[in-house]
Amino acid sequence: MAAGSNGDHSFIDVAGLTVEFPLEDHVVHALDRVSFTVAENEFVALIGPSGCGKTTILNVLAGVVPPTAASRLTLRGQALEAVPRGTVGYVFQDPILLPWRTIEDNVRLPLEVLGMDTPDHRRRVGELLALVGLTGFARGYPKQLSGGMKQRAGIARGLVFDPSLLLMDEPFAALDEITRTGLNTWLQDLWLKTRKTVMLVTHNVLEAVFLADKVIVMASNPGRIKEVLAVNLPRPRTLEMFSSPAFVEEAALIRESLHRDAGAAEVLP
Amino acid sequence: MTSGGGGGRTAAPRRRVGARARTRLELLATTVAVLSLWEASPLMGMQDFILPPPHQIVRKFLAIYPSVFYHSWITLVESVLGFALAFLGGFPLAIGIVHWRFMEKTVYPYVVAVRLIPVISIAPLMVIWFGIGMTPKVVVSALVAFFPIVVNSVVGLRSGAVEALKLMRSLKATPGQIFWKIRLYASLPYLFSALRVSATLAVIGAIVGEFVGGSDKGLGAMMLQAQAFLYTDTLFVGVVFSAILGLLLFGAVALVERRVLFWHESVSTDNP
Repeated sequence: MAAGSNGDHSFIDVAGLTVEFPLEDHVVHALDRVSFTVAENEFVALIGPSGCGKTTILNVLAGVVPPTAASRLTLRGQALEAVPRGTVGYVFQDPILLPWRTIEDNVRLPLEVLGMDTPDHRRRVGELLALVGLTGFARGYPKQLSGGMKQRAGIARGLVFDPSLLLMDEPFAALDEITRTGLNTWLQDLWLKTRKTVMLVTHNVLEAVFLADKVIVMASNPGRIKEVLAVNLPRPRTLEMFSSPAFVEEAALIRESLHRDAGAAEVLP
Repeated sequence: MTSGGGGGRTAAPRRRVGARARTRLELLATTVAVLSLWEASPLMGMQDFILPPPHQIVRKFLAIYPSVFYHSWITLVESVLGFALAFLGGFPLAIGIVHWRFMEKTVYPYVVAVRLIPVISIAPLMVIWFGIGMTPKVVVSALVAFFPIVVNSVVGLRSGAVEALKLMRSLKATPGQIFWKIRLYASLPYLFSALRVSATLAVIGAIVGEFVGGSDKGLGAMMLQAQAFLYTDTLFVGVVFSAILGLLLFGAVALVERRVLFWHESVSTDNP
């Protein structure tokens, strides 16, 4: 899983990515000439202070926010606009379940949109609900679920059409510590099983070290990449490793990178 | 507003039940006091063609109730038809305004401007155009109920749950899919809050249509005749039945709303 397999065969190749949001009197550079690559099956964490454009990177890759013309983005060697529907799954910070649909129907929504609503794929809805532990709530409505359950339903929806790239925007940020740790372990298992390429936005250094092969450290104003660090810890990673010297050292490196040349107030969680 | 079993509400704490019972008791006491004072008004020199006491109104109703029911039925039919027409015209129009820039630029400004005309002032025109039958009453009723439905539906269809739109765009959904799977549902709370207002407006429109319509059917016509003969008690019967019709339509909308919007947090949302 070496992070270095660059060249023409990167799964994601981003070069000179710039995103501007025009305001009334000036232009905000949400991202300023950001370049990075992601290998297939790699788990990448994006970490940085608020406003550094982490989420914007995901939004661009999902096709929700347009980059400026000079930016070059390819996914599996194809220009981003040419990538077929159903290649990218997106799990949002707020799970965005549609309140008028049952949990089952929420998870099935992407299949309907992508024209994949066949019996075979429907079976996948049931499998995924089992995987995220929501089988008993399939016929329930979002307002009956807790925050953690909603988020797991959101993850099931992101995976239901078997995307080759999964984008996750602080999926566990709103959850309590215990649920969060549990879901992180679960997410690693899921990833080891499916080996999807994952890009995870997080505020949490320990979460990044626990899950990622590679951590992209960002800075804000304008949004840019400070450093890309590989996490060299064996898999599967366990909760016991949190206190191991190697884990602590990886976390310290990331924390040090985050704080370097930054006002303390900008970085502290 | 309904006392109906409270099935939808979560069990309220005991204290609140007590408070509600007391509010009801206070309301009952006030009502009894007002009615007693009203009943005693002839003793204080009030003439009954100005203010007939309640028992006289009730006696009058018992004497003429078949005709009251008949006129109420006519007005109810006009209101329901007007309301249906307003919905069937208003909601699709709102969809058009939201989806085609052309309609937004050309039609919507007129909708907003025409809304400022008191529709009642158009009623005499409707009589010239549509005669003295049921049609002009239905049209006036529809016109009054129409505008809240259009304006609120436009707001609702545009609201379209911004976050959900982001989800749909990440899936590269087509505009049709976004409409049928998101916008339509997201607009329903707004639509229903307009429908509740329009239901009572439709009854007002029908009665105004009858006032100017020169026909002899409907609660409005009944009240005009009563006014001509100074049958003040009949007028009061007409007022009560107009209110009942309004409540009937409002209640019907609220009932449908509960079934359709069961998924919504607050089941009934109000917005300006």
